[in-house]
Order: sequence, then structure tokens, then C-alpha cells
Amino acid sequence: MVALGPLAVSFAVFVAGFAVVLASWWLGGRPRSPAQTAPERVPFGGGADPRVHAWNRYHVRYYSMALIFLAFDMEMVFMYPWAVVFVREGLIAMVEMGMFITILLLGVLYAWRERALEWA
Amino acid sequence: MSQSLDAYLVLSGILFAIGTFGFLARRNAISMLMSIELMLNGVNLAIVAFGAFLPALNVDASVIALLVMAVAAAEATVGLAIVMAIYRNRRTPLVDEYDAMRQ
Amino acid sequence: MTGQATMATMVTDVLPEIVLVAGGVLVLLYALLAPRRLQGGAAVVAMLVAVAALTVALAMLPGTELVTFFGTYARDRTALWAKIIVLAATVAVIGLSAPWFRRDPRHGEYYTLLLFSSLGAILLAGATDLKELVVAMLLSSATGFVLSAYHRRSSQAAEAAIKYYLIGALANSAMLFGVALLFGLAGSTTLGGLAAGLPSDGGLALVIGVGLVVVGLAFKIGAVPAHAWVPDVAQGAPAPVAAFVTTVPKVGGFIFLARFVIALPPDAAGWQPLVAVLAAATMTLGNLACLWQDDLRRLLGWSAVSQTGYGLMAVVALGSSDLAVPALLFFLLAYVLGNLAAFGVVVELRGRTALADVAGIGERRPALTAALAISFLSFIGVPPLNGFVAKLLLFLVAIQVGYAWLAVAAAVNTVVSIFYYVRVLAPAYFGRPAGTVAVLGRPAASATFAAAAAVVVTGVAAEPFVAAFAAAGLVIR
Repeated sequence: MVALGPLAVSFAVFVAGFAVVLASWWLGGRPRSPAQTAPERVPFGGGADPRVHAWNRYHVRYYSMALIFLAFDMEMVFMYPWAVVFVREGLIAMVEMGMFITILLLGVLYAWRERALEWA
Repeated sequence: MSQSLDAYLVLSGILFAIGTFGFLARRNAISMLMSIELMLNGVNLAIVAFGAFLPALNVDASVIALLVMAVAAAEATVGLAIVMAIYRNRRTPLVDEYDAMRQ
Repeated sequence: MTGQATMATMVTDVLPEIVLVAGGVLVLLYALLAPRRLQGGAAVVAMLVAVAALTVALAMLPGTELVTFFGTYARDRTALWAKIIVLAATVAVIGLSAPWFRRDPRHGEYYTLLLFSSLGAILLAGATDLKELVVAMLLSSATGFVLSAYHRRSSQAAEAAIKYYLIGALANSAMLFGVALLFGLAGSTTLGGLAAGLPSDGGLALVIGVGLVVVGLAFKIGAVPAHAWVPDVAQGAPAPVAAFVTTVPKVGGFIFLARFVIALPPDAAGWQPLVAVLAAATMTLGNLACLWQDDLRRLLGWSAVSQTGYGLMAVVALGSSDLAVPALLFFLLAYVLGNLAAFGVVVELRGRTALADVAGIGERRPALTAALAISFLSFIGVPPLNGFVAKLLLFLVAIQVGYAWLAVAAAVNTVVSIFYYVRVLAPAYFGRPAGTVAVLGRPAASATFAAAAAVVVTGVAAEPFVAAFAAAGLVIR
């Protein structure tokens, strides 16, 4: 037990988890009547009605996300030289980076307003 | 760091040449953008090599390398956006089919 | 001197630039918050910003000439005149854009791009450091690409933008490689450092480095070998953008090219014959392509290429002639005003561009046709318009530095160019109008007429301008 400590514990957790799954499967009752009402048959959506069929295909449009990521991510490389001189320059460096970030932030707000952050 | 500066410069020249060839030989706009990135990597390798082998240029080289990276990213972003815009119009990424305007 | 005090004086050296940055951000904020029907108000904000920056630049003219920000940025009168030309052109383009984009529901940020693009041109004109060059080129190019594609649904605009972009990206990469080589050779990126550090017998690396940087700048000014985008953008991009992109970045590109060549060691890399050959090739190619052009905008694009060739004559003379800088500045002034007037006419005609559409407009719209005629006659170099003075100065400096053959080539090209300009003007005045000629509206007309009037005024009263330009220094350290 001492030698196998961590392994035994993780195995115990695994067995316990498996037991819980099995128990809930066994304890949870079968559906009483096979005939469900129409609202019961729709996919569960937190109470909201689904807008499209569950197997509906949709375009993820990663490219617009990729563009926004590319636009705002690379600006961060300027943080590295800034971090090097930050201690020496102090407040001036802080203000300069603050202006830079503010302008970038306005860019993000603009992208938001243009609905570029909404999927599909 | 056993090689000489020349070796790095030759490698960067080769990268740049491959990129140029790819840019001129490919018809797909996305491939051309990738070739541009390759060229800029060649540029960056040369700059970083200068910085590594010539101690006086160390700081300057790092700054220029960062600038080149930012330039590459910004250019790629604008390029991809334009390619997207024209793809929506023409339904093709092949640049030799963009020939509505002639001499 | 304490660090803060130095910082404060340096900040006052770049006041027009700061006004532009803050103003561009302000316009973006306006575009963010304003509802759709008020988006056009962004034009007013942008106009105020450009005028404010213009005022600041004018007020800075009497100051001392120096290189600020640790040798990376020039605050000399050449740069200030370039700023004044760029900002005046920006004001005119905003006037052209306001009615053009009136029906575009979301176009507030267009003016942000416009202001940032002119900032890029201004930074190019003041840069005395290759790092500064890289950033300024990016700012001026990237905004230009987006502006060209601004009509997202227009297939032509997208095509113009992608051609502009691909040529620009290639030229920019080439330029960056040149920058890397020069940096390694000289051990510095400031132009002062290049002047001191570049070996005059740098061999192949120096020739390639200089050549590649010149290629990058050739893209910016629309010269051979990176000129191919000019006609496409002139034809496909929104007409006000075409007016902007064919004029404003060129001012910055020319001034940086001028600074760059005087930083090179004398007779290093043979830059003088190189630029002379590029000049001759550019003007000839542009002219020949113009000859049978049936599209007014495309013709203006090719004519812009040939005009660039004339302007390069002043660059050839830099360092050897005192008249080179005034010749270059006056050429830029004449070129920008003439091109703005010509494109202004296209905008005012609602972008109608086929040569057949122009027939007979002299009868229906006499003032507008007169503006077109003034700009074309100025391009040819007819006195007393400013194009005449510009060409006179250019020929003079080319002959002064022993490039008489270049002056002859330019003269021959000028004679040839009469043909295609008349090919537009003759039907405009003597052709039969096809129908009513619809026009865009007052802001565009005012900008066009102002540009055309300025072409005449700066031509008739050229002496004070030439004298002022002659007092402009071109400092690199």
C-alpha cells in the first residue's frame, strides 16, 4: 500500500467513479411509457425551444475569429521589449503602454460593434 | 553557435529565394500569402543572426526582429481579409482568374 | 537636461502626428457610438482633425531643422512641406468622400483609415531610420489596401485591392530584406548611421540591399518595377480612394527616397544611374500604356505612373544640385493638386469613367470640364499652370547634374502625352452629349474646384512657393 500509494488511490477513485455511474444507471428508472409527448422529444436546451434540427450542419467560420486573433495577438510582442525597460523607465513606460493598449482596446470594441465576435 | 555568420545568411537567402519562387509560381492567393511569410522568416533569420554574431547589434537586432514579426502578422491579417472579400465575390482563390480589369 | 524635459520637447516636434493619431481614434469612437443615419458626421470630425493638423504643421514651419527622437525622425522644412501637402490632399479627399459614401450605412471608420493612411505618408516623409521606414510603410500600405477594398460587394474593388496587396506585400518583403542587409553592413538603422557606417565598396551585398529598398519605395511611389497596381487601383477602387492612394503615399515615398539616397556613400551602389533608368522606364511605360486607354480612371492611373517618372528626375539630382529639393517639392505639389482635380471630376461625375461617357460634358457641365482641362494641361506642362513650373525645374536639375539624356527622354514623353490627354479633352468639348450629366453634389464639387484653382494659383504665383521650398533643408542626422 505504501509503495503503490498514488497508484492505488487513483485506482480507487476510478473504481468509485465507475460504481457511481453503474449505480445511477441501475437506480434510474426506465421510461414508464414509450409514448412521449412532442415537447419531451425535442433535444434538451435548458428550457428553450431549439431553433434548428439537432443534426443541422452549420459553418463555424473560424476564419473571422482567426483574423481577429491575428490582428490583436501579435501586438503583444511589443510587450517584451517594454517589460525589459519597464523598471528603468517607470511611469513613462506605463503611460506609453497604456495609450497603446487603449487604442487596441478601441479596436476590439469596434470589432464587437461590427458583430465580428458573434459566431455564425 | 558553431557555424559562421555566413552560413546563417546563406540560409536566410535561401529561405527568401524559396519564398519569392513560391510567390511567383503559385496561383492560389493563400499559397502566395504563405510564401510572403516564408520570405519574412528569411529576413528575420538574417536580422537575428546579425544580432547574435555582432554583439554591438544585439539590442537593435532584437527590436527589428520584433518589428518584422508584427509587420508580417499585420500584413497577413489584411491580406487574408482581402482574400476573403474577393472569394465571396468570385468564388475562387486563383489569382489568374482575377482579370476583369485589363490594360 | 532631465529625461522628462527632453521627452517634452520631443513630443512638440511631432505635434501634427499626435493630432492625427488622437483624431483618428476620435473618429473611430464617433463611428462606434453614432447611429447609422449620423455616420456621415464622421467626415466633419475627420475634416476638423485634418485641418487642425494642417494648422499645426504650418505653425511649425519657421522652427529650427533638426533630427529628433534619438536620430530617428526629421523635423525639417521638407518634412513639414510634405505634411502640409499630404494634409491638404487629405482634406480634399474627405470632401470628395463625404457625398460618395453618403448612402453607405456604416462608413464612419473609413475616415479613421484615411487619417491613419495620411499619418503613414507623413511618417515616411519624416523618417530617418529604417525601422521607422518599416513601420511607416506598413501603416500607409495596410490602410491603403483596406481603403481600396472598401466597397466590399464590388468585385472590381476587391480585385484592385488584391492586386495592390500582392504587389505591395512582395515589394515590402523585398524592402525588409534590403533593410536587413543594410543593417548588417552598416551596423545601424538610422540614416545618419548608414551614411557613416556603410562601406563605399560594400560589394554585392550593398548593391542588393540598396536595390531592394529602392524596390520597396518604388511600390510606394508607383514606379517601375512595382508600378502595376496603380492603374488597377485607379480603375477599381472607390474613386475618392483612388484619388487618395495615387497621390498621398507618393509624397511620403518620394521624400524618404530622397533622404535615403543622400545617406548613401557617394557613388556607392551606383544609385544615380539606377534611379535615372527607373525614371526613364517609368515615364515611358506609363505614357505608352496611356495611349489607347478607353477608361478615364485607368488612363489617370497610367498617367500617374508616367508623372512619377518625371518626379524621379529630381531624385537623380539630389546631393549634386541645390535645386533638387525645391524641384522635388514643387513637383509633388503640382502632381498632387493636378491628380486631385482630375479624380475629383471623376468623383463628381459619379464615377462614370468610360471615355464615351465624357463626350459632350463641356456643354452640360462647363466648370467641371474646365477643371479636367486645367489638370490635364498641367500634366502636359502648359504655362502658366503649376505643371509647367514643375517640369521646368525638373528638366533644369536633370541637365545640371549631367543627365541631359533623361531630360530629352522626358521631353519626348511629354510630347507623346499630349496625344492621349487631347484624346479625352477633344470629345469632352466637341462631342455630342449622350444625355443629362448627373453629378454628385456640393462637397465634391468644392474640393474639385479648389484643387483646380490651386493648380492655377500655384502656377501663376510660383515664385513664393519655389523660394519657400528652396529654404527647405533635407536633414538626415
